[in-house]
Amino acid sequence: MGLGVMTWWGLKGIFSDRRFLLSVIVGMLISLFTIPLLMDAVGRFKEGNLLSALPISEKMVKVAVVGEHPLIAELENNSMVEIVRVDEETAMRLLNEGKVHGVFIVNATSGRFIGRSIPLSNLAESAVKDAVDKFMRKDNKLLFNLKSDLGLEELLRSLLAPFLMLTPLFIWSLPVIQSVAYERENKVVEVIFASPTRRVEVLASKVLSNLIFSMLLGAVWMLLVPFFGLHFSNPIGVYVILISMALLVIMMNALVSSIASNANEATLASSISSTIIITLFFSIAILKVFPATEIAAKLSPATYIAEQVSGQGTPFPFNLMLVIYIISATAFLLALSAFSTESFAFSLKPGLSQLYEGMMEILRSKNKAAFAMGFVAFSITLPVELVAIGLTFFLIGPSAFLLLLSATAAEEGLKAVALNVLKPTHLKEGAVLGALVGLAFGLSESLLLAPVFELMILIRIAPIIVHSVCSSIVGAGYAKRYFALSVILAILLHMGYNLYLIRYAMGMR
Amino acid sequence: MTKKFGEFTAVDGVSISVNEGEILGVVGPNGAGKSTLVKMLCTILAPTSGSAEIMGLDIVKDAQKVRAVVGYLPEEPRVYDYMSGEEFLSFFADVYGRGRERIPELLEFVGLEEHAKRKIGEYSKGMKHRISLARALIHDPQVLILDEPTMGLDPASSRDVRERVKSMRRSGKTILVCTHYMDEADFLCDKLAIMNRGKIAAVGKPEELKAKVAKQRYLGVVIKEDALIRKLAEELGGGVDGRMVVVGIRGMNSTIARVHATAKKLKATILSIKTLDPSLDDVFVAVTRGGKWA
Repeated sequence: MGLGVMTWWGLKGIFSDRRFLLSVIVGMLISLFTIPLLMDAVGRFKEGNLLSALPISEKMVKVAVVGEHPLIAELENNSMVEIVRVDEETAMRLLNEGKVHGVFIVNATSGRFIGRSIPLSNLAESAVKDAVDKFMRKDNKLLFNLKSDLGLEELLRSLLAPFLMLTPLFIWSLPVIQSVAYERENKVVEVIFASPTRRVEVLASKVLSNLIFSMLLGAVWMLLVPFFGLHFSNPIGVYVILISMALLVIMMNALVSSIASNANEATLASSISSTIIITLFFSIAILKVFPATEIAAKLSPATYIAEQVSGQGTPFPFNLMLVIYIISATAFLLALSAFSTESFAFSLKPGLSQLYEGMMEILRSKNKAAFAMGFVAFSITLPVELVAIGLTFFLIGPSAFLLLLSATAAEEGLKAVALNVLKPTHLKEGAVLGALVGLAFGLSESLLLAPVFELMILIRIAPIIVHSVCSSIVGAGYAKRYFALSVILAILLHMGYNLYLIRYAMGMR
Repeated sequence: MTKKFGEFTAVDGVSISVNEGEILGVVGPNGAGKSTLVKMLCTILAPTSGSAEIMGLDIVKDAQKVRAVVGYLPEEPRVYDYMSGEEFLSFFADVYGRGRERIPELLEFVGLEEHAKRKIGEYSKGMKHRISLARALIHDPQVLILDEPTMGLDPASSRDVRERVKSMRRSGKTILVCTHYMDEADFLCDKLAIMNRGKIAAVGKPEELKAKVAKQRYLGVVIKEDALIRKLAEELGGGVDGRMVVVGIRGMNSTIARVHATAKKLKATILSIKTLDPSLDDVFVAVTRGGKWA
C-alpha cells in the first residue's frame, strides 16, 4: 500500500518538474541529432591517411587476398602488410577467426575489401587503398573500382553507439537525488518517517518511481534512435541492458544521496560515482577494440551495444546483468542502512560503522550482515581494482607480477575492511564471519567470470573456496589481534592460487 | 526514557504521563532535550533505554501502530514547495490510507480554503505552519505532538495557532506541546513538565508550579507622577519595572503603611497597589538556573 502510493506520488513529482522534463527532452534531441553529424564526421575522417597516425612495425597487418591482379604487387611492397593467398571460403573463415585483419577480393577491374571491427582492420583497409592509389597513379588509364564495406566507420560506430545510448541514463536518474537529498535537506523526511510508511518503502518508492520514469524514456529512446541511423540486431537485449544500467545508476545515486548531507553534496558525489561507472564500463568497451578480450565482452554493457550495432547476434549478457543487479542491490542495502541511521534524520553523514549498524538493524543478524558485506566489498572492488591496476601499470610498468599483486591486494584489502567493520571478538566468530564475507565475494565474482552461467558452480568452486578461506584467516586474525599479519597471509595465499592458475593455463606445470 | 548520542545524553531517564484529553506542555531552554523526547515519542528516534506507551501501544515494539494514532507537527514546517496545499494534504491522506473527504474541512479549519490550489512555495511562513497543522490532523489522530508550534510566527499567526490547538483539545484530543514560550504554555497547558539538561526538573499544573516558586513576595505600586517613580523606589529600597515600583513585602500591613507614608512625603499620588504573583517565567528561571525553587 505505502510503496504503491509513494511510487505514484514520486512519478507525479517527476512529471510535474517541467524544467527537468524540458532538459531531458532537449538532451535527448541533441544526442539524436548528434548521431548523423558524427557519422558524417567519421566518413570525412576516414578519407584521411591513418597510417601516419600509428606506429608501424614490420608485417603487422595480415590480408587474405582472393584472386589475381597487378596491384597485389603494390600491396606486397608495403612493409607492414603480409599477404596470404587463399580461396574466398578460406579467407572468410580466417577473417571470422581473427587470423587475418581483412580480406581483399579482386578481379580485373574492381575489388572489394572486407574487414571486421577488430584491431588493425582499419590499417589493412588503408593499406589496400594505398596500393590501389599507387597502382592507378602508375597507369592512369586503368580504372579500378574499390568497394569497402567495413573498417573504421564501423569501428567508430561501435564506440559511438554505447556512448549515445547510455549517457542519457545519467540525466534520467537525477530525480532520485532530488527526491532523497532534497527531502532530507528540507527535513520533509521527518514527517514521512512519522507516518506509518516503513523506511524501506519510502526509499524503494523513490527508486521505483525513477526506474519507471527511466523505463518509459528508455522505450521512447529505443523507438527514436533507428530514425537517426542506429540499428540493433536485438533491440530487446539493448533495452534490457539500458534499463539494467539505469537501475544501477539510480541505486548509486540513491546511495550517495542518502549519505551526503545536502542536495549539492549529493549532486557532486553523484557526478563522481557516475564517472566511476563510466570508467568501469566504458573503458572496458574500448578494450574490446584494442584489444578484444572475452572478459571485456562480459564486463561491458557498452561492448554489448557495440556488438548489437555491428549486427552480431550476441545473446543476452546474463553474467553482466547479474553483476549489475548484485551491485545495485548492494547499493540499495547501503542506502537503506544510511536511511535507517539516526544521522539521516539530522542531516549528518553516517560513518562506516553507522552504515553497518543500519545494516544490522535491517538484517538483524551478524552472519547475514557479514554475507551482505561480502557483496559490498565486491561492488567496491571493481573500480578499486581497476584504479589499482591502472596505477601499477602507469607508475611501475606492465609487470604481470605487480599487476596481479595490486588486483589481489585490492580484493583481499576490501574484504579485510568489511571484517574490520564487523569486528569479530573471538576466533570462531572471526573465522565464520570471514568465510561468509569471502563466500559472498566469491559468488559475485563467479557470476561475473563464469563463461556459462550454468557451469558457474563447477568451474568456480575453487575460487569461491579460496575467497572464503582467505577471509576466514583475516577474520580469525582480527579476533586474535594479528590483523595486519593475517591480511598479508591472505594476499599471499590468494596470489599463490592465482599464479598456480596462470602457470596451469600457460601449460608450464 | 533515555537517549544517548555517543557519550552525550540528550534525554536522561525522563518519565511523565499525560491523561486522555489533556494538554501537556514540555518547556525548557534550548538544548534541554525537548525535541529529542518528541522525536522518540513520534518513533523517529529509538530510545537508548526505556520506552513509552501511547494509547497502550509501545513506541518501540508497536512503532507502526503508534504512527497511525499520532499526529506530529515539527518545529519548522516540513512541506513540499512544488505541491499545492490541496495536493500536499492529498499526498498525506494517501500515505495514511485515509480518504480525502476531510481535506476541505481541514483547509477551512486552518483558514487556507482560498489558497488550496496555490503552490506551498508561494505561502507565507504562517500559512506553511497552518498547512502543516492540517497535515498533522489528516488522519484524525487521537494524540497530537506539537514541537514549538508558534516558533518564528508573528503575534497574529501565533494567536491563531494557539486558538486552534485549544479548540482541538475541546474536541477530545490528547496534546503534547513543546515550547519555550512561557505565555504559550500558560495559555494552553493543563500540565507542565519543565526539562533541563535532559531531565524533568519539575512537573505539575501551572498554578501549582507558580505557587512553589519564590518565597519572597512583592508589592507593585503605580503612582500618577512619572518623575517620582525612581525616587519612590529608592526611598522604599525597591526596584522599577516599567511604570511600576516593586517593593519586597516584609509584613503586608507594615509594608503598605510604609508605601503610603513615603508617597505622602514625596507628594506622589498612588493610583494602585497590588501583590505580584510569580509568573511561569519566574518558575522557568528558578528551575533552570537553580533559583529560589521550593
